[in-house]
Amino acid sequence: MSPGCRQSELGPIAEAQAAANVRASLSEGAEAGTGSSAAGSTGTGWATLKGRFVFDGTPPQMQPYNVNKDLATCTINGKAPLQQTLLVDSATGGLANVAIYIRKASRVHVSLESPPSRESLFDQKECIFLSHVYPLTLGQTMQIKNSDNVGHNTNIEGKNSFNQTIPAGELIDFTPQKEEAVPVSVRCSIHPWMLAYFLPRKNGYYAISKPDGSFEIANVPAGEELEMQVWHESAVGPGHALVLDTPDAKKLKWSKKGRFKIKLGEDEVKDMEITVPAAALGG
Amino acid sequence: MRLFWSFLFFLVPVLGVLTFVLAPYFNIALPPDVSEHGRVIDNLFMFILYLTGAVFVVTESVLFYFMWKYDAGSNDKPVKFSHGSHVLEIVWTILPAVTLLFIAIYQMQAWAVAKMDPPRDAQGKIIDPICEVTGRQFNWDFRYPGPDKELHTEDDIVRTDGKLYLPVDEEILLRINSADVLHSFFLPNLRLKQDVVPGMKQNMWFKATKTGGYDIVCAELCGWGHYKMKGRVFFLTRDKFEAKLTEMIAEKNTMRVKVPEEE
Amino acid sequence: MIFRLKYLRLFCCLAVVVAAGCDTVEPSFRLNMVEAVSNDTGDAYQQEIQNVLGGMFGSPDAPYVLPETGLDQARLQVAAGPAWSDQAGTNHGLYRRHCVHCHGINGDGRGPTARFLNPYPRDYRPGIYKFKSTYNASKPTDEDLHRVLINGVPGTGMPSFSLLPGSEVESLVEYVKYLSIRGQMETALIRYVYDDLDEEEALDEKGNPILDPNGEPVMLRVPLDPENEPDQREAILEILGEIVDGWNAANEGIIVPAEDQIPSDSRTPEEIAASVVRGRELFYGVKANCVKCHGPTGLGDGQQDDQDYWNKVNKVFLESLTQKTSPAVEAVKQEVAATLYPVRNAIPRDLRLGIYRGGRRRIDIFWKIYAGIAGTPMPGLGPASAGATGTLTEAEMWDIVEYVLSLPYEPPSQPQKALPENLNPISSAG
Repeated sequence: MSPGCRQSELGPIAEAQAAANVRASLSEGAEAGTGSSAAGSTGTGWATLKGRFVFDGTPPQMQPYNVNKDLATCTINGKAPLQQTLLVDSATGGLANVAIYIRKASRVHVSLESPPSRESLFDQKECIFLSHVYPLTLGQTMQIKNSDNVGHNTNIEGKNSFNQTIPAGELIDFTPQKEEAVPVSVRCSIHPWMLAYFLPRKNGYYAISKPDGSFEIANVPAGEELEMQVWHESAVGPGHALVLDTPDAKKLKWSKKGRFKIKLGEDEVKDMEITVPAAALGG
Repeated sequence: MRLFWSFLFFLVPVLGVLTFVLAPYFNIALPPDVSEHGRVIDNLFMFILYLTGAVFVVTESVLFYFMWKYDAGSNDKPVKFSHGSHVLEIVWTILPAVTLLFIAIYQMQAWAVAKMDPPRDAQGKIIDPICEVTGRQFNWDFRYPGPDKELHTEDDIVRTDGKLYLPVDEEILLRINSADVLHSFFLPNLRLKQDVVPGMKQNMWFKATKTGGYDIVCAELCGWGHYKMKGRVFFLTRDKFEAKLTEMIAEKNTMRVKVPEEE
Repeated sequence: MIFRLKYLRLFCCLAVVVAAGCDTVEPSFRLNMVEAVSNDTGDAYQQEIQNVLGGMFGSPDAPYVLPETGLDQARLQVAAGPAWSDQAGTNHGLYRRHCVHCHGINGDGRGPTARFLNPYPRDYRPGIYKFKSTYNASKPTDEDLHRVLINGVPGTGMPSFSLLPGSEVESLVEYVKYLSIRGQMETALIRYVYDDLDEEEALDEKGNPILDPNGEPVMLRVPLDPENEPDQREAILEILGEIVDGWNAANEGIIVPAEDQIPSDSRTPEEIAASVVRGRELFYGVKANCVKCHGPTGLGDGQQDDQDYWNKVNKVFLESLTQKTSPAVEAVKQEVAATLYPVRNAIPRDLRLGIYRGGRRRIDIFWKIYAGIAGTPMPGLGPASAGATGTLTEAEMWDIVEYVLSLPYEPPSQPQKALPENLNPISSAG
């Protein structure tokens, strides 16, 4: 596209009449909506959602990080640590670091209303963030720790933007205020290869799959439709939403935004085995 | 046809003279001059203007006369070629050459004062610059030496808001340089302009005779923003100038902030 | 006759050429395509979003703001529209007269002259500003924006506009905030449409889902239609309220240096020299870590691999082009990618030049050290918000300020680039 005098002409422009109508309706101000916009009624009781994400295919070889600073601290025996973008357990085929969480919960179990501990540790050592995907319930305080002998600065993007130097061996508290719809990146500017993801949510209905691919969310509202969002940093969906088109996923009506709906009976423990084909993660 | 074409060409000297006569009333004459040396430059300009103007009017009138008299429609006699007049050729070569020589010698002093003889102090040393002007695309930055009177030391005052403050009625020396490409520091009201080549430091000196604010413009095409590369020079009395420097030092050292009140 | 015809033809040709060059099309705001394409916003949604934005904010010639924004409509009117002056000499169309050729009609930093500048002009749409007096996550105050217009940004292509009358500068500040709020609203709307407007099943008169030949329910797109959907209207106004609250809270985010830690005005040269020495220790120390990015001699060569926010957005978008998606999506992404400027890394400041982009008063440098620089890799050393924990005390930060101010006049005896072993990347496997 030649830069010249004309700017980019991609995309539509506003239609005058439609814009005028919108303006008139917004100027009236917000009326009270037709009650809550929650789809469906709320149920009673609580259930548990658990399962495993299994990778189907040959996991790609992880390349080492591009370590170009503080080699003494950031390399082990002269070798840079491997990247963590797609971690598959060789024994079980489990896919780690998948974030699964309820998008909008109508009610929250008492045990999750006040999180188990106000402080939650987020550590970095040998120039790697120790929690690669780090969730947080709003109200908790993130304790950003630097267990290295060199300084780091932790740069969190998104609505809770934060960028502060964490001196060697010290701990800085940070209390985010806003929820994110998808995990946002956490980096270090001094060591730009360092990468983690941060997911602050209003309630505790989230789980990050463990190295063996397993996850569990306890005390989810039963008797009502729950919309789950699934995310993985290497997923090719919009915003890295994990979009699946396997027959099992189609049964769950897995959407193109990496979401599916599920309704659990009271005290039900639903165990799901979700197969993730390599294509969904860019393979 | 003779009427039309000859009078069309006669309009040229008429309009030319009218433009200069009416210029002050339409604000397109020379801008007000506030420098000591500007008078000399303006006089030079006017002298050359009158001289060339007179010659211009005479030659154009002669042109008009010949177009009128020897118009093809009213002349049917064959053209008579002459082999030139030796005397005429000598006269109209010598006369302009002498005039040119006169102007060249006459203006040497004006040029030297403006461009070759910087003001010197009692010991004969060139006075220190009171400000270093840096042209960059597309802004004029100013650096004052600060209390130690030396440029490029820690107490310098650097200003990037395009406003240059200088004392009036004093010999001023400015050091001018460029941060990137060719610029030209032009003070129209002081009749002075100095191109800067990146890597060269130039001096410009003058003495202003009136207080007030006057334009600084860039006079060498330096890029797409050349047209808006402007500044303002303010001439203040010495004590007001010192007070201004103190104010700028205080601003440089600001360590406190005033929080606006809640409305 | 032939003589006249030749000139007549020449005249006609010239007239056509001249007329073709004259542009009388009214400019309009264009969509943030990187955001729209990254969030899978379909064409119909794009049109609806533009309509909503047109309703909420008007056009470049006719700006409009809802009263909730708190912006001054009169000032916006002076700043917007084509550039002209009236009989009284009042200038109109200030943004187009002074700013648009770099900052673009959308405020996206992509005007016609922008691609020749290093650094690129500011993109107002994310609402992130580097040079301000507030905490890293806060918005700039009006005074901050005012100061940028008055002093320019030395070391960049941004000149000073101090010669404009004060009222014109105020109008431009207002218009910049307007473009920011509009840009933030645009991104928020795109994300709202992606997040909250899903497809719904098409229902027949009895309320049963209509099925397609495969037995799957037919899905209808939920349009963005605040005119007819009070829920959407409420959501949009709530989003706007959040954005405006951020701007209104700017003054509360101002970092006020603690009075007892500010160095005294009457220090002796020895005290100042001692402060410089302390500052140097901190600069090279492991608490502040300045050398890691600014380099062992402050030349800005310590770490040059990171990008600022605006370049990173483009980098992430260009990287997403390598992912395998449908050919239609790829074509759209390629089109958008072709309009982006080359990604540039964020080079840490060379502190020996004595060029301070964000202001050269002591407090300006103090603020950069305290809060870092929003949108860039530069981290803060002070508390991230009021009451949080900082890394250094304010007295230590003033010492670093003293050292930084002395750096341009302290020529290193052997200026050295960052040591080679710290620059060799170790990325070969094994």
